[in-house]
Amino acid sequence: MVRNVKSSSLEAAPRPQVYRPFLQNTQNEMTILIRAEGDPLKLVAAARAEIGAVDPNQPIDNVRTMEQVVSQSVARRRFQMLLLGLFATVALVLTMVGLYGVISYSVSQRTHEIGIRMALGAQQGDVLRMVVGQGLRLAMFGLGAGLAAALLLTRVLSSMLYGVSPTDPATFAGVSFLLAVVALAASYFPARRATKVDPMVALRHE
Amino acid sequence: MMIKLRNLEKAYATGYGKTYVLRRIDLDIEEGEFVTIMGPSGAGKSTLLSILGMLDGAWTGEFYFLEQVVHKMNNKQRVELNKRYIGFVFQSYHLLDNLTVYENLDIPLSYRDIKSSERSGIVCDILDRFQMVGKKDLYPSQLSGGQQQLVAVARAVIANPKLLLADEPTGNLHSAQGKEIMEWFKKLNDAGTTIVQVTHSEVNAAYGNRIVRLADGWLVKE
Repeated sequence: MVRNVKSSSLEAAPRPQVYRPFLQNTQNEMTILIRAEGDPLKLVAAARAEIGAVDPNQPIDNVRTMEQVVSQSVARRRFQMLLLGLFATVALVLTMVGLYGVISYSVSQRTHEIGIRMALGAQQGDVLRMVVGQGLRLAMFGLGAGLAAALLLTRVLSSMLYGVSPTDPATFAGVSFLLAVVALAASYFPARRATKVDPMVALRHE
Repeated sequence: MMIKLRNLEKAYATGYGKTYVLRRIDLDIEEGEFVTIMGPSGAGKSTLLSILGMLDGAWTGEFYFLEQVVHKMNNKQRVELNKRYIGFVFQSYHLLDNLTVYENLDIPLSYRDIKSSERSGIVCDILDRFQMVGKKDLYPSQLSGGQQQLVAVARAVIANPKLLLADEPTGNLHSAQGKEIMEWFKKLNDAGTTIVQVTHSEVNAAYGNRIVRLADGWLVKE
């Protein structure tokens, strides 16, 4: 009896298998697996020599390291991941730019109000908190909607996942935290600008 | 002495030179006075008022407020002085249109270290004092000009300032509304609040006990 082996792909469940002596095998191909210490590619020449000593006419093909075998087996998954990652990065950048734009516009629209508040005693910290708070409230609203949509839609992606559930809590928490940080950064710079408002100039701004 | 100005000047850089808005202003204001600043347009009246209100920090000279050396303070320290001692009434009221009368009155208190439970009591008290209880849930757009200015005056005095600054407080009001506002100023001054107002109106100036005139940024000697 031997342990289960994934002989077709990483995500496929092992199937029942029976090992037979090679001489009973009617197939013409043989795959030799060599476990080596150090760099296994250094043994290729020696392996070829040993096989040639048994049968000089034996063709030897597809010499690869186990890392290459595993890598090729996940090549499709890796491509999908890179593509999704690229789209996700673009979406994140667009989100940041969009949120920055909305908050910047809001600050310009609220210049008069900010001037009034500063004339009534608001310090720079109060103005910063007000603007960043507005940005975070917007972001939390979007996060809530996005989380709900993600919970519904990630099941569609479950066939593309390996080793992680479609509702992995750590992934959801990590992405939510990242988006909150992005929202904070996008809100901070317009907020800093708002604190530089001259109250007397802002009060003349209608 | 509440306010002492010595050689106060304000200028803007223009091209290769400077344009002066205020020149060598020496001014003393005692506690309890009701001072009127008058002068033609462009004389520097509103600029002087915004400097007195700690809203403008770009000036030179000496400014002492309640014995404190304002000209050596940073912006944060000046804002603290403003919060503790000064209320400001603007010509255009400058109420926040998206907040009710109650919420507008609460804003100055929210920037001072006052608990929200205490703030509620203070706002209710000022609404009663200015006879505006029935209007507390209205928005500024639902009030007349005179009522809006009354809310602005209430907002300016809600934190019990020692000094009330008013920049053309009746400029956008008709005479009856303006009279009501000036009567309130007289009452506040009688109760001990120092008032400095900028006005073009000789009628309003008569409510005060001293007139200071500015022309082209200079104090006109009487």
